[in-house]
Amino acid sequence: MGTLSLPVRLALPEEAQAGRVVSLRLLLQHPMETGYRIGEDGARIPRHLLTALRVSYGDRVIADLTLRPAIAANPYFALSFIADQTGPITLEVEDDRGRKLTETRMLTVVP
Amino acid sequence: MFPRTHPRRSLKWRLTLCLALCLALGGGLSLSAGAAQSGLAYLGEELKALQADPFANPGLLWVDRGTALWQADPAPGVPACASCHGAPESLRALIPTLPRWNPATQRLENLEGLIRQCQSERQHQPPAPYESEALLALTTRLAQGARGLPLSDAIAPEAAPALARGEAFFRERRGQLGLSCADCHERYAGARLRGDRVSEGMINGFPIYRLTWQTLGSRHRMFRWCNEAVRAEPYPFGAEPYLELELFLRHRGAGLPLETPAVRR
Ligand code: HEC
Ligand code: HEC
Repeated sequence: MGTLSLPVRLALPEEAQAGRVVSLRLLLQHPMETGYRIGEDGARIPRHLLTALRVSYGDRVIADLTLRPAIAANPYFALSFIADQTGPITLEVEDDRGRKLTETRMLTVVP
Repeated sequence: MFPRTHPRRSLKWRLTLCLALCLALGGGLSLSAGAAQSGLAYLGEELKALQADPFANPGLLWVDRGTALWQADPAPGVPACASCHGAPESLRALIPTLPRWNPATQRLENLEGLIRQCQSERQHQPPAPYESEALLALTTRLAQGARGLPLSDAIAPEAAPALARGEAFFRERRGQLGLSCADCHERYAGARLRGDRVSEGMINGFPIYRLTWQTLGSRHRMFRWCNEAVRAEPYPFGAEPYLELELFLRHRGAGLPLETPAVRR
């Protein structure tokens, strides 16, 4: 799978107390072109969509979404989960051109 | 997780908008009076909150990109904006005074024009095209650094004719629909349009992230859109009449705080 590179804003604390709810916020810069829109030059703008978003915490998948064409450009996602162990939070985003973006952040859990 | 969804811009949508608006105008809706108000005041609660959100305001994607471009050497051995100017905030005081009169060239210059000028004259690079992601990002980053400062009313005496032409443009009826900027943004500001409201057409939030566009756009893109909405031929980006219009709108909105990147419907 090729590498997908796009501007990402990711908000996630570096540290959390065990048993506390942690929130992850994500903003992706992407046109989410459906392929039905006509551009300024009168030509159809080629389809270009994000298709999947997965978030894992350690070896558990905590969110697994299929992204649909009706989602607006520059999509925003928010997700909450409970901090129970120190581990990597991994974000994977895929597009319809077979490319993938992966981002990992460490979450340290303190008692 | 609930990503937001909303309608896409299309020509059909635009025409429906005109039609709906004309109907609303025909119905003789509310008039505005008193001090100038930012487009923010005409937004629903949800969009107000999105604009104020220091993480999720989508315009911040361009701010991030602008910060990166500001610090990066455009080519090996070519100094970055930051290496001559320091922090983007060092240009803070300039932003509310744009567009301004340049006595040397005897022309108006706006922020996009100044950035492009530095790119070509001081970095010896091809200037970023109007409405390119790079120019939008730099413009947004610089304007964001001036958030909260009031739009200035300082206008050089030599710019008086340009200001007058800007105002004339604003009040002239145009397009197949024969509507002036003032028709929509003064007489009918506040009129409801399918649950949204027509604002006073202020420029203190630009570049704005506009849901209708699903992206960020400049002041001149907005003028082009508003021209097309009445089926008038738009001017090219950076054209003199749009710089004059920008000058008049700065004067008209003097005192309004800058709120880049604003979020609009
Ligand atoms: C047919 C009505 C109509 C006309 C005529 C019109 N506009 Fe607009 N304008 C709109 C609508 C609708 C919007 C989007 C909603 C809003 O912000 O008011 C808008 C938005 C704007 C905005 C953005 C306001 C903000 O807060 O971000 C500016 C600036 C603007 N118009 C300027 C102009 C100028 C300059 C002209 C004349 C060249 C013009 N408009 C003519 C309908 C019109
Ligand atoms: C080699 C040094 C140099 C580089 C690199 C440079 N500039 Fe400049 N810039 C200047 C000088 C000198 C001026 C004129 C300052 C003055 O007249 O007060 C200027 C003026 C400006 C102004 C108008 C400021 C004012 O108060 O009139 C802006 C805006 C600006 N530059 C933006 C940029 C941006 C954006 C970049 C990067 C794309 C950049 N500059 C890169 C040297 C540089």
